[in-house]
Amino acid sequence: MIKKMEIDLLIQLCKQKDEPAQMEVYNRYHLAMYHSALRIVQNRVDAEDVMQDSFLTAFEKLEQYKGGNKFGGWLKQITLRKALHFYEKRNKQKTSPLEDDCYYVSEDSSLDQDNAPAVQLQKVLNELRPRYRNALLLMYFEGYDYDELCSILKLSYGSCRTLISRAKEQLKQKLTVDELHG
Amino acid sequence: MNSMDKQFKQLAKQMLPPPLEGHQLRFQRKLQRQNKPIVKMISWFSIAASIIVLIGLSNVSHESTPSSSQELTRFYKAQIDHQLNVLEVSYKDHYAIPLQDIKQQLGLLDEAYGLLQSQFDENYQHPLILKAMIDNLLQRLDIINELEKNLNELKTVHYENELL
Repeated sequence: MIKKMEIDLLIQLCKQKDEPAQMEVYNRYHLAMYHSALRIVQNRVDAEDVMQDSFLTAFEKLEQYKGGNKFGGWLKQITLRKALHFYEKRNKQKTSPLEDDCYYVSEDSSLDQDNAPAVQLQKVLNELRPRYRNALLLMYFEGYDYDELCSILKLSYGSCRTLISRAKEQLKQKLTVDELHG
Repeated sequence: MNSMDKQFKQLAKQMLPPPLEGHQLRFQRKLQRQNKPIVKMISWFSIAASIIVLIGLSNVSHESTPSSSQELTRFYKAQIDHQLNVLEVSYKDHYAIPLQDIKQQLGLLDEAYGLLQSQFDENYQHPLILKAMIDNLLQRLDIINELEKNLNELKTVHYENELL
């Protein structure tokens, strides 16, 4: 029965810490949240941690969810903020983040060839400063517009535009350098 | 399924693999931990303690206590032991203190304390655990003080009866 419940009803149950309801919400949304987290942190174990942590935070702060807006969107904002925070923190500690980050670079060479431009882009993206990289990921992978970006990154509209334009500039530069050398 | 579909599916799987196996179970465990925070345990202990009316001697020894709680533990236990001694000496001639019962009751609080102790060993930075430990000891002291008060009243009644 719980599987057919409307999300708003489930949320009401979750507010009372009803575990089956919480698990049902998890089951419905975990894949989308996991992939959003994975695109940013690029490590399956970390992505799971970030994703699950986001659900826990969401359940704790359910009072702040005002309904009306889509629950998935609200949850995703929490997930993305956590993922960004995690990525930036990890990259401060690590000097060369690339080795274990390219988890999905295929071992299957035929796919590798088809996928070469994407892999190349991913590689260059990972070389950008975390703030630049993440802003671009949000915009192009998650499909957020400037307004949503401002809210997630907690920046003013102007700073957001500047961030994106600088990120693009840096990306272009790196791509050209790579082409010259590659 | 044509080969293009298959290839796309493969690529999607590669780019966005599913979560690692067992993720639901891992989440459920985290969820249960969050749903039952330590604060609830403290209240459980206070309920358990409030049920206990009588209290007796206890031989509590937890040598592995890290130093910060060790002093507190020693302080409170010394007070508890002292009060119990006073009670025993003062009243054993006049009133039969149900020692067996008391020891059993105290065992409950002691068990709770042992549980806290092991949690404290795992995570000694958690202030709630430390607070629960102090509460546990304070409860024992309260109960004994209460007992002393009751016995004093009994003594007065007994004395007045003798006078009559």
